[in-house]
Amino acid sequence: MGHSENHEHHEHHLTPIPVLVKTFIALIFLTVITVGVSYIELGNMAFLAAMFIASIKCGLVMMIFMGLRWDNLSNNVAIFSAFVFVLIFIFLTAADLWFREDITPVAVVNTQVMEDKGDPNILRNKTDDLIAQGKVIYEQQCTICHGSGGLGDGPGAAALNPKPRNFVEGKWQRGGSPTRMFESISNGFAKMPGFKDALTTEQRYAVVHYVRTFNDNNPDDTEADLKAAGLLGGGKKEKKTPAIPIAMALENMAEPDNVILPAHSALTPQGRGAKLYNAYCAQCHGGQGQGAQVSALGVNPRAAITTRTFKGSGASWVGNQSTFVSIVSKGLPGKSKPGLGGFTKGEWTDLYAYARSLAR
Amino acid sequence: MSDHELHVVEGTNHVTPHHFKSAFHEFDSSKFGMWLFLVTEILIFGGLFVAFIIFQGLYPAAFKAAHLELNRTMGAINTVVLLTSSLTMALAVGYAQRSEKQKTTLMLLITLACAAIFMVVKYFEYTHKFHLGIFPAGFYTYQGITEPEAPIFFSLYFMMTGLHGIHVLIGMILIGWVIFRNNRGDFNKNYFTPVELVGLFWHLVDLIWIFLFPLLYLIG
Repeated sequence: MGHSENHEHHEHHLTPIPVLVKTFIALIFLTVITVGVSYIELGNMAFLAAMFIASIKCGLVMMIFMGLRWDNLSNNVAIFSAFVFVLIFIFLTAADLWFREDITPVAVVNTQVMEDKGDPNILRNKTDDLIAQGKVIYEQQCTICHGSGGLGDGPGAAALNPKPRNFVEGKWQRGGSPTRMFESISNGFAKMPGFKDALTTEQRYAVVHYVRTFNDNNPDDTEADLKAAGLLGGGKKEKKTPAIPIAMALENMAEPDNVILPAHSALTPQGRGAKLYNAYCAQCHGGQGQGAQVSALGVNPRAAITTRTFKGSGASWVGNQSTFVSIVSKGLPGKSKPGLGGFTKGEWTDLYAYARSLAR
Repeated sequence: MSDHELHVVEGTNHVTPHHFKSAFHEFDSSKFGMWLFLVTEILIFGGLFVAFIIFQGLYPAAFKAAHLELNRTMGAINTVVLLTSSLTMALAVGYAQRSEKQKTTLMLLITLACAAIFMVVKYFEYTHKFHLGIFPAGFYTYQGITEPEAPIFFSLYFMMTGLHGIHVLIGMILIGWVIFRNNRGDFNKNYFTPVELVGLFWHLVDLIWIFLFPLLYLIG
């Protein structure tokens, strides 16, 4: 025993010098590549490409320079577990970023929004129910021009040029397959209005199937039709702004937070303008007209109302009383700003003066 | 029994503590300890990398604009300098293992010189940023980038390169210490643990930079 035990069996691994030099050359080469690649516009791929090359370099340094390749298992396990945990850390944290939907501004519309969950891929196949439903809608909405027999001879037809389509003839300008007809009914063309907002998907398809009963030879959907309608995947897809009715918006509107009047406010909160403002405007625009408040209206779809600040160039309408009165009284249809009426001239002046003072 | 006998490693003054079976056992244990320390280092920097990746994902435009303020050439030079120092460090360990004392010292000196060059380049990069008013967090006054989130990029930049720079400085002190001991004749093929461990630390400093450089300077 004794000294002889110190260096028996175990020999330190000697990495040949040329191996170290070659590793260094490879590292420099990879550095040149990674710098070169960074000048190419790769978008998101740039990150992956750079991290891929960095990982190879990291592997070379660890395996050769740090000698992990010839090292024992415990050292290898220890250090690789560190990288695994960092990757888990990155992935779990980034997952929150990747899979969280954006909060999109919502359009507030003046009508009750109908649940529209119609699936075109089912609805484009005719059923007796759809035809019956379509007949009712057709007689309410379409006969005035197209005639109750589909001959294009309704009372309104006389005034129209081009004349309304005669469905019995079965000649189609925009395709007579169900999805093409659906497209025409939705968006309208020539003198015909679109019914996208007036009728649900199911109602529009119901009309399609009823109209098709006027002629037996209407074509069926081809693959091209489906592709154009985005029903095969890969085609265009209509992205709709989520819409909710005004009543629902007001109901769900959260109390404005952080409405704190500064101690040295030049405004007189007791004045009539301030009172009007706080009663009618502050809920959305904030106590100071700071705007940019996001009132969550729902999570599915994720929707919120945003108002702009009065301050700065975005609110030039606050700079002119007649514009101000016009916008505030009429509202901004489709932009969720309701109109206010019934103020006296003096009240308008005070409200305007107060809004102006907030804008400053 | 030889329990009370001093286990002096052949050709050196190093005494293998009695709780180790052999000099190799001591070497192996020391190295395992070093690797465990390096694990914690990777986890520290891992946190910063996560922060960077998240903010980059949140504000890609600001990060893209901000990263163009960094000097790519200086970053690339520093990468080559650190890779060179890693090679000379590996060579130093290799020569120490072969009992070539003079070559070991030479390689360690080159490593130290590379580390110094790295810090000088870093100094010029930092002072240029300070001159522009690019400081971390609330001290940021630079007006050249319109994106309001740009200071986040620079806060992360200073934090990540700063922490890395501290590691370089500590590495320089350790390398200096190893040079001193090597000159004194402490190491030979039977005992070179400090050279090996400082080498591992130094390679880790290089490793971190291998990821920092593309992330900060190239992608943004």
